[in-house]
Amino acid sequence: MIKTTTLKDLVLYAYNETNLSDSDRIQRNIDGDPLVQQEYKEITEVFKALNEQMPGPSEKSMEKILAFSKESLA
Amino acid sequence: MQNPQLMSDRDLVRLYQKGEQQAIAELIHRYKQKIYSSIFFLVRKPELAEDLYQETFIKIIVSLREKRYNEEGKFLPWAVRIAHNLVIDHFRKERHMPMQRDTDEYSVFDFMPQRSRNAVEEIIHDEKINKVRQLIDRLPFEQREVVVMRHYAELSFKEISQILNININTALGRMHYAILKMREMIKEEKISLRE
Repeated sequence: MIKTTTLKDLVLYAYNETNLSDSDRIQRNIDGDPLVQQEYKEITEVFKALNEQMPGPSEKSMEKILAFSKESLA
Repeated sequence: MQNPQLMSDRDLVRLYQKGEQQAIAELIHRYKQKIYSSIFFLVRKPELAEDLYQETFIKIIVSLREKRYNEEGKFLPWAVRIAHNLVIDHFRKERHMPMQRDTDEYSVFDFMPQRSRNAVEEIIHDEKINKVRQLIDRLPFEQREVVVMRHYAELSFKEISQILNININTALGRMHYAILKMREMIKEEKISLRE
């Protein structure tokens, strides 16, 4: 990986937390350096794995919360 | 009341404080998975996660009713902070941190939102969930909480650093090491989530 882009830079970029000039620099590094490109690809692979499913609460829990809210409104 | 799905968090909070029940229903629905995930992946026990999730919303409701919410437009980070404080309080009460790995005695899938799938789809789906859990469960707690807050609750690193009271570079560093570790796990164990 070239010095101008670190793994932390790539993580911030992947999460869209870089400013415009950094985004431009990082994207150019991704496009121009196969090692950076590989690093970025592997980060996105991890993200894809994490994105597969997100657990959620049961309907019962949500009903209980709404019931509490209604009671507190009364 | 206009369509709550089209309203901002800030407007929903204001409406709820004026007594509009539909407003809190929308906030609950809008963030159910993000807030629940931010609890579940830390405590790793579905029943406990359900209890803490309910407790989180009870605190949210009480705070909104008593007009103690003053982070307008930032509902999710505020809610996740409440959830995280409850998780930490729980561990303090139990006097142990979740260092041990859990077993397969429960499945995240049991608590997934209800969807219609056939039996084969259910099995594939269940396997995927367990693989995601395998990745996250093996991370040290401090890395896991950053991954959960950034990836599932979608908080920025700045917001995470504020909630955890750590430097932003520390939060980023924990994410960095978590990604390296998960990447290794995917390579070594050939964890593939593609069908």
